[in-house]
Amino acid sequence: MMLRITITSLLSCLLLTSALADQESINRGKKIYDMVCFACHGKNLEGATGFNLKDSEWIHGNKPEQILATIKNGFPDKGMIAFGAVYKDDQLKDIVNFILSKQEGLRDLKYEIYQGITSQTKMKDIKWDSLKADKSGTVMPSYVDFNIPEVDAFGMKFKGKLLVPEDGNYTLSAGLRQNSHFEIFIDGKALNYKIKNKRFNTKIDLKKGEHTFEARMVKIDKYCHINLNLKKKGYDIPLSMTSFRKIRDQKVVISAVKEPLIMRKRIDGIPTKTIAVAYPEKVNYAFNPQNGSINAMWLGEFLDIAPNINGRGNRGSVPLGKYLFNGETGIDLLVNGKSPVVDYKKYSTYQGTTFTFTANGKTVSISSSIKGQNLVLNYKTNISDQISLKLPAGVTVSSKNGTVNSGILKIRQADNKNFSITVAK
Amino acid sequence: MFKNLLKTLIAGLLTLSAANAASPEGYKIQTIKTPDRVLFHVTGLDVAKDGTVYCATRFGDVWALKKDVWTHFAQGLHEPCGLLVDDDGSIVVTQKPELTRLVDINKDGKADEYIKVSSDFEFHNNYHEFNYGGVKDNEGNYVGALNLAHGDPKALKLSTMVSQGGYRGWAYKVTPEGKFIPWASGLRSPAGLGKNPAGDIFYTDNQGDFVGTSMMHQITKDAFYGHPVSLLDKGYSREQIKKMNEADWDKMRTVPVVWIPHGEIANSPGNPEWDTTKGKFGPFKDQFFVGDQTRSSLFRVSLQKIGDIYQGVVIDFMTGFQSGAMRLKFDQDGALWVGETGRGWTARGGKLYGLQKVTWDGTVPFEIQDVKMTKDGFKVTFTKEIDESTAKNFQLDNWWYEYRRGYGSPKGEYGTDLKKTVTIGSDKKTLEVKTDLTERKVYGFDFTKIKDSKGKTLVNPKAFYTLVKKLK
Repeated sequence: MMLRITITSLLSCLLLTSALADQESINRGKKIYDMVCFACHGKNLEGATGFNLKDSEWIHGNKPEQILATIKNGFPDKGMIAFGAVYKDDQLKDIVNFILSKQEGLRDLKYEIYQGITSQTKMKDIKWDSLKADKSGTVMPSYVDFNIPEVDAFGMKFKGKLLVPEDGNYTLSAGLRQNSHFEIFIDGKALNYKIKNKRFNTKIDLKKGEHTFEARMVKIDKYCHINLNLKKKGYDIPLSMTSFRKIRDQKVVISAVKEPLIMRKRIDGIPTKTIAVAYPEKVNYAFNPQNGSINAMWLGEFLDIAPNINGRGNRGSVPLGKYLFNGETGIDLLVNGKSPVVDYKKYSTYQGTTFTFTANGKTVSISSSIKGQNLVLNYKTNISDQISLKLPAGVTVSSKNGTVNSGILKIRQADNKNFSITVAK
Repeated sequence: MFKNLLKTLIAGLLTLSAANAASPEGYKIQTIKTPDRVLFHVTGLDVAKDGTVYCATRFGDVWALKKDVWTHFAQGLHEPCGLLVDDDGSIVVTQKPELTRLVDINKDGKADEYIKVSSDFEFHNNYHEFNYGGVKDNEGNYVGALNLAHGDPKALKLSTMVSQGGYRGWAYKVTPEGKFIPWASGLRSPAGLGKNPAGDIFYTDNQGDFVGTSMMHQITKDAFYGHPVSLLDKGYSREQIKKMNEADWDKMRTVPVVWIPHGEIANSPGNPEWDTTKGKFGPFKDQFFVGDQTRSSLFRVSLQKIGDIYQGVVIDFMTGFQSGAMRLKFDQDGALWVGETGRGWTARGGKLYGLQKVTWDGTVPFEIQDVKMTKDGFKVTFTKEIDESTAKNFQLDNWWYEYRRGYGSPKGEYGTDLKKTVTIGSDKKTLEVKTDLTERKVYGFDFTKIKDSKGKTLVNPKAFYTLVKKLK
C-alpha cells in the first residue's frame, strides 16, 4: 500500500517556512536543485521519474521536516538517493526551502454535493453558502472533479486554496460539457467570462502566494469532465482531475495504415524478445524468436506503446484488443512430434512479412497475409521429417495441407516444402 | 500515425545561436530540423561515407538525412541505443533484445531485412537493460555494452542496480560471423562507447552504486570495473557474491582512465568521439569529445599512455545544448553532430529530444589545450599565450573517490592548495608545474584567474587529471 500522508497543514507550513526561509536560502537551494535534483524531478519540479514536487501530492509527507528527512535519507529502493551522504543539513534545508517556494495549484480542496438541484434551477437562485450538503469531503489530490457524485442531477461546490507561483497576468482556460451553470471565484470575486461552445478563457492578475478558490457547477450534460488550467508563460497548472490526467496518461496508439507494421517492444502478456505484427485490417499477431511459435493473436487496434516510451518506459505496451491466445507458445512447430531446436535468423518486409529461422538446422520461413479477419500463415521448409503444428485454444485453425486432431495439425509430408494455415477467431 | 511517419520529409537546417551558452569562442551550435510529429530521441548516430547522417531513436526508428531530406529507413526497433554504418553500407543497431543488421535489399531507401547478428545475452524486459553499441574494433568485431537492470525483483540486488545474469553489466564483442564473446564485466550504466585510432575501445559509465563519480574506462579483455552483480556471469553464485564485500571487489577492479567530477563536468556521460577532423574542428585533435545527458553539454578527454594503461585529463567544453547530449559523431566536413534525449532522465536543455551540430569558424578560443603528467608534476598547455603576471595564480587540489555500494561518493582524501612551483615556457603557452605526485589521485586545476595576453579569462578554467600510475 502506498504511504500517503494526508495534507492538512501544508499552507501553515508554507507560511512558517516563508517567514523563516530567506530568499538567499531559496537561491542556494535552487543552485543545488538545478545541479542534482532536476535530473529526476524535472527542471521546473514537474516530475519525471521522480515525483512532481510542486503539486499537492506528497507521498512521504509535506511538512518541511518530512521533506528534509526524505531528501536526507532517501528511498534507495525506489531510486531516491540518500543525499545526507553528499550534502550538509544546511544545504538540505536550502533545497527544502526552494521546493516550498515553488508550490502551485490547489490545496486543501473541500467539496460539497447538493442533490435536488437540476438544470432547471437558475444559478442566481441557488443559495450556495447556506445550502446543506448531502455529501462533503476533501479531495486528494487537490483537483476539481465533478465526476465524484454518482447521481444524475446535482449541484456541487469546491472550495480551497490556490497557490500562485509568481506574480502575473494569468489565463484561466476551461473546456466543459455545458454552456452554463458553472462559476469560478478567486479571492471571493466571481470571474467574468462567457462560455461559448462549451469553453472559455479569461484573464486574471494574480500575486504570488495564497488565494481563495471556489468552483460551482450544476450538472447539465450526461458527463462532467472538465478541463481547467491556469496558464502563463512557463506555467500550465492543472486545476481539474481531467487536466491532471491528460498530463499523466497520454496514449500513443500505433496502427498499421497501408501496409503491415512490425514492432519490438515490451508488451503486456507476451514474453521478452517477442516481435509483434499489425495489419491495417486490424488483425495482429506475434512471433516468438526464441521458439519459432506464433505466440499471440488479437483483433482490433494494435498497441498503446505509451507505457513503454513515456518517462523511463518501465511498463509494458498494451495490446488494444483481447488476446485470442497469448503466452510463450501458441501455434508451435513440431518435428516428429517434438519441439525442435530453434535458431532465429531474421524478418523481412519486402515480399510480405516473413520470419526466418532454423529448426533442428533446417530452414523454416513463415509468411503472413490477411483474408478478411483471418490470419493466413504460409510455411516454407526443407524439413523432410513429420511436421505438425500444436494449436492453441481460442482460435480455429484450418488447412488444406493436413488434418487437425486433438489440437494437433498434422501436415501431409508431401506438402512439407510449402503449406498454409488459416487462423480464425 | 505511421502514415505520416512513413512519408519522406523535407528538412531544412535551422541555425540558432546557443542561448547563453558557455561556449568557447569560434564554436556555434546549429539545430537540425527533425521530421515533424516524430519523437526524435537520438541514441544512435553515425555518418556514412557519402555524408548521409543516420539516427536511431528511442522510439524505435532509424532515420537517414541526405542533402537536407529525411528518409524513414527503419522502424519498430526496441529502444536502440547504438548505431553504426557498416563497411557494406548496411546499418547495425544495438536494440534491447538483439544486435541487428538492417539491409535495404531493393535500394528504395528503406530497410527490408532485419537480420539477427547476435542475441546471445539475456534481456528481461527491464526498462534499464539498455544495449549500447555503435562501435567496431580494428579487427571488425562489433562492440557493445549491456546495462544493469533496476527494480527487478527477481534479480541479484546489493544496492541500486541489479542483475539476473545473462551478461548484464558486461561489455561484449560479436565477431562478423555472429559469435558473441563476453569481454569485460563490472559495468553499471555504460551509456557510451568509442575508440581511438589505435583501436582501443573506451566506455563511459554513470555515477551511482559502486561508481563514485562518472568515469571513462578502456575496455580490456577480462577486466572488472567494479559493479559486483555482474560477477553472476563470471562463475560466482548469488550466495558467494553476497558474502563478499567492497574490500574483495576493490582488489579485483580496474580503476578508470579518468574520473569525471559529478555536477562539474558530467552527471551521465554518453559516447566518447575522437577528433579525427585533422584540425577542421579546432585545436583539439587527438582528443575525445564526450557529451553529457544531464548537463546537456560537451567535455574533452585527453589521454596519456603510461606503460600499458591510459590515464588522462577531463576539461569542460561547451554547454547550452537543447537536450541531453548522448551521441556524438564527426562528419566529413569536421562538424560534430550531437544526438539528444532528455526523456526519463531530465536534461538541463529542457527539450525532450533533438539533433544539433557544432561547427568551428576558425577562431582559436582561449582554452586549456592539454594537461600531461611529467616525472615531477604536470605540463599544462594553453591554446593562446597567457599573461605572465597571472600565470602562477591558480589553485591545485587533489582527492579520490571512495569505492562503495552507496550512491556516488563525495571527494575524499582531499588535499587543498597543494604546494607547487610553476615555470612559464618560452612559448608563453605552457606551464611546468612541479608538485608531489601521488598515485590514485585526481588533480584538480583551477585556472579561473589566468588571463591571456589580451586580458581574457578562460571559458572553461578547470582541468581534472586522474593520476593512476606515475612515470618511472
